[in-house]
Amino acid sequence: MTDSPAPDSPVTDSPVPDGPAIENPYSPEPPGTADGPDRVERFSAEIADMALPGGAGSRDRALLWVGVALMASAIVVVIVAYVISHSTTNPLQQRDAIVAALIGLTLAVVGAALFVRYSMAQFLRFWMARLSFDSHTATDRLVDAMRKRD
Amino acid sequence: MSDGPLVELRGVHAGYDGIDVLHGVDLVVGAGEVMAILGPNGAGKSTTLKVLAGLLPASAGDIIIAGRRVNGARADDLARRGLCLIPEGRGIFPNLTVRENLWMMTHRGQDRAQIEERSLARFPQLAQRIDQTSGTLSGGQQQMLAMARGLATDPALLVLDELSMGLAPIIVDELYDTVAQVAAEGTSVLLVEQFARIVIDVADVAVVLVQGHVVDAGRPHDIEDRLSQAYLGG
Repeated sequence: MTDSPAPDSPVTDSPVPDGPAIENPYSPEPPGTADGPDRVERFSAEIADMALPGGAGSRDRALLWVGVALMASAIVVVIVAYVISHSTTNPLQQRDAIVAALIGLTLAVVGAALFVRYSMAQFLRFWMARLSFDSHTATDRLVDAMRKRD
Repeated sequence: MSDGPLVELRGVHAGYDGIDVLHGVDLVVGAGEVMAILGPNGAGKSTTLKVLAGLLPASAGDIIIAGRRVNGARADDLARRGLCLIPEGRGIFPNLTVRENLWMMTHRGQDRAQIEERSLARFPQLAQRIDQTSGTLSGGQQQMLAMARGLATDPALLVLDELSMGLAPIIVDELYDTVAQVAAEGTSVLLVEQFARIVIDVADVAVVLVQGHVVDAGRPHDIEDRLSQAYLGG
């Protein structure tokens, strides 16, 4: 190859070893490819069947905010229950307050579950991007070190 | 199958951080056609490709693929259905070998052996470096790998961003020969080039984009003379 290296990538153009020409074991024509009209027809059909957003993505976001809302309302319910139980000596009212507090607790658990479930995808996406970046940087460092050694 | 164009952009606006880069771009790419988007730096060429590939949302306008308005479609959904973008900078995994990079392209249902066979039939040079870490390939070989990966999925629409970037002319010619071959097989190609004269012989039709506006369109040879005027803002 006589091409110049890409400026944005670590390049060491190691030469093809001399010697007898390496026979290409692969067929000259790409196998299994559709011809033009077939390919376009298949593409059109697949595009027609494709689900567009408005569906899963926005539903995930909505459920994430439902989770946040449930956790916030749970705090309010529990505080109200606490105030009720402290403002009366009537055992019936105190028991009602305990039930309200338990409902608040349930709301908090359900809200937290929804929040964790639907924020996880975003978190994992960030985490994968971070891993990919780290891996890229490590490779660059390795290639730099190899070039310096040569 | 739709009888109309394969890709159509109608009045597309898009940008970054609320600042529009594209100001109403209109494009039509027919099935099996090669269209070149030409223009100076910062004209919005790559942004147009990103919008089409689903990597950047359009703030206004319509993106129509195979007769269907696909605004908001996810990039991975479009890729699975046969829209292949080869980005500027190639988008290969530099820490993986050539073979492992090719194996990444099974998302359209082909198995690894098919992917390898198809890629190496088109780019036999890669066969000699199949177990080499791709970050250590030359720029030309990396671009070949990027194209091999894209073409292994048998895309219906190939979108190429600055194929010639950082490469020697002889390699660029070789890569564009492959593009011409792919187009002859019936794949539609939309390509972006800053160096217009490279693609004059390959493209069926070209548009000139300047500051987010399509300022000229036609057969490449017809607009060749007007290119310098467009580039220099005359």
